[in-house]
Amino acid sequence: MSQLAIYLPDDRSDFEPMETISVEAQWELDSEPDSLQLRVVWNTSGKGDTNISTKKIITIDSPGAADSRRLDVELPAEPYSFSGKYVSLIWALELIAQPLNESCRREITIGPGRREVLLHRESTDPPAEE
Amino acid sequence: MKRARDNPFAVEQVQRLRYRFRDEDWPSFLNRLRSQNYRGAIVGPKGSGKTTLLEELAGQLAPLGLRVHRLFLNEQRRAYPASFVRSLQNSLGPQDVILFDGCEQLRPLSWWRFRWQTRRAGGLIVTTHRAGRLPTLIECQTTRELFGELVRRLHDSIALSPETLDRLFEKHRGNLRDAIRELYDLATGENLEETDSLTLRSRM
Repeated sequence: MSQLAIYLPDDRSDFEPMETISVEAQWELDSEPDSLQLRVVWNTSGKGDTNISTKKIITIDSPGAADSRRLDVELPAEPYSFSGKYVSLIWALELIAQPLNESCRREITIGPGRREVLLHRESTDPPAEE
Repeated sequence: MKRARDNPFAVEQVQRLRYRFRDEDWPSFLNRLRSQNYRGAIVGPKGSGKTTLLEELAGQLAPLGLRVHRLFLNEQRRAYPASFVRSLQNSLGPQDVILFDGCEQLRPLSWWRFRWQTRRAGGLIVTTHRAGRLPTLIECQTTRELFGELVRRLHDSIALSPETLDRLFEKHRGNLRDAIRELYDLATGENLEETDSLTLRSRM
């Protein structure tokens, strides 16, 4: 059975904008793909239609059926990960074997202080001072 | 307040729901479709699953070697699809099937014009609210039981009171898409009156 995996530094999933991270891509496939792509993508999630965007693609040509590779990825400056009542913007790394259509996905957070921007006040937060 | 990404009724979750046949399955439906020369109408009211069925049908037809062309019209977008027709008209053949979502948006003359201009296509399958434009392939209907089942599929740990489920089904006159959109709002936790009857329990 084919397997793809993405490992993040220190198993973190939250990062600063423009941070450069070392991503380990691992794959063990039933047949050899033409290439592997590590994509940095975002999508929206919520009540309305879903938007998606691919911000960066790193291609590994002739990767062999099974191997691993460490890749340095500079994360985008924006948009920040955010969530409100009706929409969230979710960043993710995707590893895709072409043309086998095998893939895996790892969601990450990109934002100042390595935090998702919340468009509403958490109910547990104390009221903001005037 | 629940983040949009955590809302079990978010659009991308709803879009993962599969169409549920009442009396048949995919092989039977595809057989009927073939016997009707890939021509017919998926008929039903708003929010009854017509578009979901058409989307899944596209995925079933492509592996049969058919070339699927999709056209979508709705109340906001109902002009004659001239560019769609122009781009296909001269290349249509027996392997081409047009899936036309919302054909009732075309007035009768425009509909006949469309049929004439796409007559070389091997198939034409439409969704429509009322029967009549093409032989009916299937009538999509919704029930309270189906609504409850879909809600449970969206969030297996959700407890929704039967009264709330019935109220939403009645309020939206069986339009499951709109009923689930209201559940999205309830799940945000903003509507406290209704949230009392909608309990989201986290699994421990």
